[in-house]
Amino acid sequence: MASSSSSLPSPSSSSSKKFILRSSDGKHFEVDEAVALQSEMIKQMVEDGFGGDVIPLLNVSSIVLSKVIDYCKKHVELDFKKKMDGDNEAHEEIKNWDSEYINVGVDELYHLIMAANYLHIKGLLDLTCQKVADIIKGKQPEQIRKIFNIENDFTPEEEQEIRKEHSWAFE
Amino acid sequence: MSGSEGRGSTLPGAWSLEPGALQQQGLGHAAMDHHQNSGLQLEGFGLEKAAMGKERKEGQRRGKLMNLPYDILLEILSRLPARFLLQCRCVCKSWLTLVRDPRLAKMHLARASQHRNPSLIFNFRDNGTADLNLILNFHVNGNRVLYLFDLNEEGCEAVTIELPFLSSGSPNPFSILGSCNGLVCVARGFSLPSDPDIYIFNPITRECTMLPEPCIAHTSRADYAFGYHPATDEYKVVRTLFTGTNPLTGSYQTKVEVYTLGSKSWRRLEDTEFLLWASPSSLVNGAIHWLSGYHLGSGIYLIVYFDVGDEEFRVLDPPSELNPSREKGCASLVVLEGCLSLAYAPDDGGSLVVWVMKEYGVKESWTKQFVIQRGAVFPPMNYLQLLCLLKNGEILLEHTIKRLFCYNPNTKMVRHLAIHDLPNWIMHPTHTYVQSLVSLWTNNGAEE
Repeated sequence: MASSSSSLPSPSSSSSKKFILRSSDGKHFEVDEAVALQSEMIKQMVEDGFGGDVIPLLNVSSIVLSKVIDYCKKHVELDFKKKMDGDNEAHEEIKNWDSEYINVGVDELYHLIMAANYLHIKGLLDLTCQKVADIIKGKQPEQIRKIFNIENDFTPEEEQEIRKEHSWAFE
Repeated sequence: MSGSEGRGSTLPGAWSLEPGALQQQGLGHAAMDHHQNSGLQLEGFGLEKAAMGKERKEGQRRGKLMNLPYDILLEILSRLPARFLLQCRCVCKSWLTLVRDPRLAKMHLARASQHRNPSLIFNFRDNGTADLNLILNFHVNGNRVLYLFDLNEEGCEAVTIELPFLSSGSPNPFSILGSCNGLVCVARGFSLPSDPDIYIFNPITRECTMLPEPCIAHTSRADYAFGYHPATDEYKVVRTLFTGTNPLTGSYQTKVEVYTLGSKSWRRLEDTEFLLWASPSSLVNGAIHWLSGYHLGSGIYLIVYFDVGDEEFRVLDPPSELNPSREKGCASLVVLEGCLSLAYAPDDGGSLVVWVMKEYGVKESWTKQFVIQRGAVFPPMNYLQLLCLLKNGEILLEHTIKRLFCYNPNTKMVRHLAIHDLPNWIMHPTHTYVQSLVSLWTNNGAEE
């Protein structure tokens, strides 16, 4: 690990540096440094001198990783655009792109949340958590159980009791 | 890994998964241990792997979202309206635990305060100018309910909330004294010669408590302010009684006592020389702020604050440009984007000027943020009260003729904010308020 640390180029020459990420199923993804560093976890690894050649991401599959890389690439691009063109236009573009990107099924959403959490990509975690919140907002408890595939472990009496306790919330 | 604590890394015992969960957790820990051995701290590692293992076993039949780590579920729920979260309690036992977790109340409050518009609360106040028929219509329930209007919702209807302590057909009207973190402090029987009953309650959870008898006897006038200090996590009510001026020095004399939520009695503090009434107080930086006079008739404005933590009164300088001794006008304090702000409108009908103290406690940081030109839309400026800054950049103003306006500082356009089915006169005075699940009890050791 020490040797890979000493072979790292200095930060000033890092703009064109490439990183290779390895998914849990062994596939390699070459990405720009800026894209990889969207992940706080990878950033920390690099700062700690780890991950010189290939960064193993032991619990992100290639399917999920490629989707995550899409997100990071686009946000690096849009962040740059924001600096160049000003806030407003880029803000609108980010919003539109994000809403298109996150329009996925709940299973894929789950894997994206887990990956965003593991890789510490705050923007992606925000986006995915907000998406789940949007899905369940306004739904009846029964519908939420269906979405999450949750078994109702209350007895009818217990459930009645809880509903009664805050009856106004169900009006 | 900075800033990563507590996210997705723990599964508290309260979070019970279905059979097989134990096996998953075991798998998770093993994987994480392995990873830590390689000099890395990778959060959530085992969980993902566990979920995928489960998926392989059970195929696509089972939904995956329920396998999300506890902290991620908190993160998701913290984005939902407080009232809706009460419904979510009956999804299953795990979700009941989630919604009851005081951490959720805190996360929810932080998110709501930062990213969402506040709600407005107001109640029926017959000020004698309203149409008699309207009064009669509203009198049936009007003086017993709190109106809650969510500025985030598309609709324009206010929700009515029955006050738990008024449900027995109390004839006494109540006054809203203040609100913070979703808790509201109200007084019942404020207009009576004796002391009013003071309550703190959460309109969403309906938790409610009545404060004990104060220790200083009621004289001519008692004022109340409600505040919170983040460091001590304490809610306090300050009761001030103006007792006159000192004939020798000419300064004011005000008696002070404090009640801490969860305690059994009021505590008397040292008297203060500040006059602390009339203006609605503003809570910033763990301190309650008043606009106050110091010496009778001096015409100098002072911003007096009471630190809710150390219970000391101190003074802040107003903007140096502001010189009310030269001109007559009306000043008020308001909190804009978490900053203490001061609005000043001269009596001659000039513009309403809003200063914002960008850096708390730094006099030089007072910035003239908005100048609202007096236009045809606004009757004399001195009747305008700033309520808050909306997330779309508009300023919400209340006019004393009971109308709410949104002013856009960029376009200088004004739009009237209508609330359905309520006559305009009902709304004064309007308070901003954040809907929350904050409990009256969890901070104070006492249990529900």
